[in-house]
Amino acid sequence: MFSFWKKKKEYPDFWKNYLAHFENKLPKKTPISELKFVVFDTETSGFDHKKDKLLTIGAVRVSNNKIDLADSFEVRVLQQDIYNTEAIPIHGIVPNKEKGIPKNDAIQQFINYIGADIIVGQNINFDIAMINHGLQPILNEKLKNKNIDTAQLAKRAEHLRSPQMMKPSEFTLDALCKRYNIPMHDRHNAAGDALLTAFLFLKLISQLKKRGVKNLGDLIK
Amino acid sequence: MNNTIAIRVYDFLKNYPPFTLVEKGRLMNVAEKIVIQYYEPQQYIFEQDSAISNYFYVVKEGAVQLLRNEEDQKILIDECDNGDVFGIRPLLAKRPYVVSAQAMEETLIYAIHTDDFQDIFKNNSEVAFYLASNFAAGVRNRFAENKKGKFYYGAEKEISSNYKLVEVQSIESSKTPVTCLPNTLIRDAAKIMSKNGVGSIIVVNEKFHPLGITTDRDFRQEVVAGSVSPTQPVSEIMSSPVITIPPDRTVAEVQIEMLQHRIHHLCITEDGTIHSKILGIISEHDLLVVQANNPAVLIREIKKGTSGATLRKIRDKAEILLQKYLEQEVSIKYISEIMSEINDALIIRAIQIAENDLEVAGYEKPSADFCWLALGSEGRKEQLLRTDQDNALVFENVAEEDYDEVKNYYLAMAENVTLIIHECGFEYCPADMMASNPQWCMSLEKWEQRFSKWMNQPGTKEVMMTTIFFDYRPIHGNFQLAEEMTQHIFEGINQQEIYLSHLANNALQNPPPLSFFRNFIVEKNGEHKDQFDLKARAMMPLADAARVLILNAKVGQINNTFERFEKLAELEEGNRELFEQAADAYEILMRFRATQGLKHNDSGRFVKPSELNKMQRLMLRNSFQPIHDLQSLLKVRFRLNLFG
Repeated sequence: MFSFWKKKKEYPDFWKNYLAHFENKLPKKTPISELKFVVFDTETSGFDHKKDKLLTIGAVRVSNNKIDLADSFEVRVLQQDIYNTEAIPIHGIVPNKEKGIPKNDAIQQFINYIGADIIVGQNINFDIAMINHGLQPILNEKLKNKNIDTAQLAKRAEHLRSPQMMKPSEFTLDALCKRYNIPMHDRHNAAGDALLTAFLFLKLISQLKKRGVKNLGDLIK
Repeated sequence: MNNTIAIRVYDFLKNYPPFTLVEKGRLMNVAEKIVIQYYEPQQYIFEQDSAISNYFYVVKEGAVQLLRNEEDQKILIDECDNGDVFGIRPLLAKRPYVVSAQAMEETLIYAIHTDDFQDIFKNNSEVAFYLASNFAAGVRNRFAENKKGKFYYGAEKEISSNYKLVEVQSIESSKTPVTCLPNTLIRDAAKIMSKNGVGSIIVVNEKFHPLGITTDRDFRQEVVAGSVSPTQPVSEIMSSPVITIPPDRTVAEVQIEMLQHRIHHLCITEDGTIHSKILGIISEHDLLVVQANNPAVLIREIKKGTSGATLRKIRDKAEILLQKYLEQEVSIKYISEIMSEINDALIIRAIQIAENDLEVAGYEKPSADFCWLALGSEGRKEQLLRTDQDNALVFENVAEEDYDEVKNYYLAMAENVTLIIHECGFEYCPADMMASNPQWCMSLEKWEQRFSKWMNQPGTKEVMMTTIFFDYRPIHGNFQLAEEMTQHIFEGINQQEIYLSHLANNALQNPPPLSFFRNFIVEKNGEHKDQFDLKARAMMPLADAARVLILNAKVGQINNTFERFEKLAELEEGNRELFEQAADAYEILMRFRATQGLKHNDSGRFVKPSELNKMQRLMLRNSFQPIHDLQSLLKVRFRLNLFG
């Protein structure tokens, strides 16, 4: 009861809007073709989500086997050490898109973008941790979206492979792209990797469909 | 927001037509709004008779088949691979799809909203024409008739006179002039000239303005004759003033200057007067070198040639000329006219040399006249490259007792002629269809008997033989003999209507392929092949169809395939469009074959799809359509369905 009251009282608008997307729960029988996914990737200065800096976020939306590029997402985060804080304009105004926008704005824009869509990524837990960590200075909350890790999805699709073939090195984005015939170029750009991951995701879904994975319930156990 | 992904899409699109023709900024705008679609194998992108979408499509990765349902049968229309555009109907029409598009394997597609492309489509005529050609290939429709296939090669340049090309050519900057000051001793000037290997020296002042010229002729006349001493200054013997011209004068202008002043050298100076710095010097010899590839000059040289070896060198030069014409997109009609003229001159010269050789060897020339006939592509004036030689000889009827003697003389002559032509680089005919073969060197009477026999019992082989004779052209000798032969053949056709049906049937032997897919040729039955016989699969069917239709129209005198089609277009309003398409297709194929042949130094006959770009593939594929349509027309017109 107490927590409910607190939410109502203190949430900023963007988070209220975000939560509103989750009011209607999707039935487990919803076919995959009617689901919306946001495939995303973050580019960071290292692998420690607590210490390292968020540099860029890239994402594309997948629904019914289509990716509409007009509805894709890409932001560069302004790095404090190269920028005079006093010069930062008010929320949302981008002074220079090459340099990026303040981190809080980037996080909020991303949350506005994803809504309640299922978030998808390669080793997604790291990227979620990165976003959640970035959320902390704004409010003490975490992403609520359902999520799918493409590395795990690939393991599901390939469960018949011999155990020695199931080692982690076989399930990196590079290895998977190679195995699923997805041409790679300029890896390690968040938006570019998000698109490659989206292609991988589409192919994996298609594989799993043959094995009876047809709706939300089958996909997220 | 950045647009990494849009840049990737742009980087892909910019490699493929028609996007190669779109300006960068506009193409970026399109790329930003693309919808990427994933299809599983067998899944339809759109289906025949369904309402059109708002998108048209580009294959990003994978393969798509375009199919049409006809009477419960799925007919393959085309196969598309990476970078191919399909489903452009929404850009052009509002009616439902006339074909289905089905993914053959896992396929990623870029869908472009028509609203995002309308502007480009409307304002960029090249893009519109490319897309319309693409569209037409699937639905048997001709678009942009006035363009007449010129899009592929840019505007064709018409040339009316043999000299024009050379005449308008600028004189390329001539070699650095060799100069000396006026007080240089004649002896020293001579040393400078011989050291530089030149025949003249320009006498200049300190500012390099030309004062006069001295040539080796002046030395010979003045010094050697003793009228001046080698230790006198060069100014004593120089011709002065020199005639000067500004840079960028054409060959024709230079030639006129030289003729007017009766001089052999011209100085090029900065402003064209003697009061500016000298830039170069042009001699009469330089002009000759420039003109060496002029067709009229080549023909003149051929007429003076005395052996196969010298003729070959001249014919090699003609090839350079051909290359230049192709590069400059000179109309194929002009090119074939010129090349035939050169080839004809060569054959005539070979005959003259052979006759002369026989005379020297003691043969007596028979009183019975002969006529040399060019067959096949040379007969049709379509032999751009040195492919096989096909020829025949007809001589006047002679008394039975003299027959062998006359025939032996002409056989010996033909043996010689074909050898010389061979030395010029034309291969012997593999089927031995040459005047040196006793079967192809006969009297008029015997030829007529042979024709009648062929026409009365047309088996496949005989039909093939006779087709050759509808494309023959008299080259040298008594043309009356050829005339009489033609007359005989036409009378024969009139009596034997069925014969034309045999010819028409022969023209259907090689249906064209469908399209290109990846590195393969796609056959109508969906089979993939990796090599394409341009001659047998595309050019011959057109030449065969043109021949039978023009004979059916009872028009003689026209041998050339595209001229035949042009005549047919004139005669038959109902099929005008098809015949014009066929003429265009033939021109495109001829040009393409010649270009390929020169590039690979072969006959240009076999084409590897892997070596073709998208533009060339589309161009070839579009030329297949009229072949297909012509063959359907022949089937109906000659009732070939009922024909054994």
